[in-house]
Amino acid sequence: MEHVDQQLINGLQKGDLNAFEELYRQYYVFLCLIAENMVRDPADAKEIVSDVFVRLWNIREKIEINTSVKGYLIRAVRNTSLNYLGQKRQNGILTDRLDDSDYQLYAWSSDYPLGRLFEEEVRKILDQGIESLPDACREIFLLSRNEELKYCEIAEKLGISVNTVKTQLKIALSRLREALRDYLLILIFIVFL
Amino acid sequence: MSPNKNYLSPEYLIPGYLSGELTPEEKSELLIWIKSNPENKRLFDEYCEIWITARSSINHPEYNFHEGFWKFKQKIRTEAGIPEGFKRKSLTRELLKYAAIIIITALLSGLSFYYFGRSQVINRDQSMNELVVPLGSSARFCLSDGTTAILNAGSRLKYDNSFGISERVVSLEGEGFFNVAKVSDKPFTVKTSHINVIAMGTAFNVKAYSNDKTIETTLVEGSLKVEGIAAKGTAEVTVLKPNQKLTFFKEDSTIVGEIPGVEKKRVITAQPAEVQKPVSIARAVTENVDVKPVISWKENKWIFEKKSLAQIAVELERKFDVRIEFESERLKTYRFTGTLLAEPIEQVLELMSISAPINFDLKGKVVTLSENKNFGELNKRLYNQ
Repeated sequence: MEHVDQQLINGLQKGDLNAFEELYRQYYVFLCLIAENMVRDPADAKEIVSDVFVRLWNIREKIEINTSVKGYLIRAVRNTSLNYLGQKRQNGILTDRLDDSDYQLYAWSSDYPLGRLFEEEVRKILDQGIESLPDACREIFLLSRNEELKYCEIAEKLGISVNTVKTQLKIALSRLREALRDYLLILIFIVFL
Repeated sequence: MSPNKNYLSPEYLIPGYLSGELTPEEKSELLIWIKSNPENKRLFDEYCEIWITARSSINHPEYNFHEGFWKFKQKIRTEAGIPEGFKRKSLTRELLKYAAIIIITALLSGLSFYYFGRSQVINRDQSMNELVVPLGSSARFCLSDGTTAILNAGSRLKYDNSFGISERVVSLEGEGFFNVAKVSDKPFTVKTSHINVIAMGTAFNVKAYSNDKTIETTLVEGSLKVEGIAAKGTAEVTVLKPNQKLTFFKEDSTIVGEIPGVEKKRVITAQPAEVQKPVSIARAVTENVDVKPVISWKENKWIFEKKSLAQIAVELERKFDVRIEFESERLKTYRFTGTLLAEPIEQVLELMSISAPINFDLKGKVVTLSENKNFGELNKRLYNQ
């Protein structure tokens, strides 16, 4: 991994478009999701990720990546998204969908996400974790993740209450957290190092 | 769990937050809960991490990386409009520079062969060859025995016409990287002001600028013998193994080194063997040296680790042929770690000024460094970008 990264970084520094394409292939969706989670708009998310890559391109010769390319990109996307939220906040164009708490939450919570779980092997464990959720719980989780259904839509579809949906989703996440415990521990260790 | 059946702990709000289901009231409730306890914050962070990773493993037609990459290429093309012109120009300049180095290399090695050829026939006493690399540049050349040497800015290398016949001796002032060709029975000696470095077939770096307080010899491969010059108070010999560095302090004619592996300085002091001169000879060796930063200069790259601005300034002066003045003494103690590729001095200074509270003023060949009182503001801006 480290070695591959070094090659990639060398490519980036030289302005090798293949290296940039590789980054797009590996991380584009993940980065867009991080941005989307913060700014709540896919189009804006794409814009943010694109800005991050263009900036990386502009400073490629001077780039100094100490951790990993992935870590760098995640941080950059996070900061750019936060900046975007900050601007919206300043211009008073935050909406119900995107309000002051969103900005505060991210401005204040400084180290999420780290992309530790975004590794092939960990994702496999995550998938296994999803597989082994209790049936009803898994079904609700997948409806939310795959179909991006609203709570009320899931409730209606399955003939259950919205509160059950909430509870089950929380259970799903805590079970997955349990399944990924070791990896998340590493994550904590690194954060507090 | 709360006795009220309709009440759920704010922890249950996290999935809702992640899928964008929360009302503003619920969001502020969640925010308060997260802020109230580091444990809660950690839980939130971890759920975010799990949720986004889980989402990333399914298809997202709205995020197509081909499309994203295509747009990226469009953007850098339009943005690069003018700078690209510059780039092309500087590329030509780069090529010219390399061409010049190649030509100089060819000339120098040709010359050494030529003189060598003559010296065999004619008397040896008159000619000494001297290679001078001006400040702001570096040069690579090949000696008649097949040894390659790269000289850093502001260095000079002298050698006798008889070089290679009975012995191989060069004198160095400045910094050079030598890749010595193996010639049995003929060691290769680099003489400096205070020490001689004797090699068989090896690659090593010698840094012996007359305005430095130390002479540093770093061995990349092979083995190396470093001897003091008796007239300068020491004739002691030190043998170096690969990845060892020997530091020689000129002031009191001592050879000193440090061992970073165990993080402490070791100075071995001994008296010269023959006479009781009052001069102390201290020598020690740095083990497990990362040679990359030491020889990075020869690839036109410059790696420095925790170097003080005072040290960096000296090297900048050589590298770019400028003079650096400090408006404040405090600045000299700032330490930098980084890698620079071949960049113009303006860019190097620019980089420093965004990573530390330093202002620079470049007028002709004089750079004035001063403290930047507004750095906090600048840093904030950069960070938020």
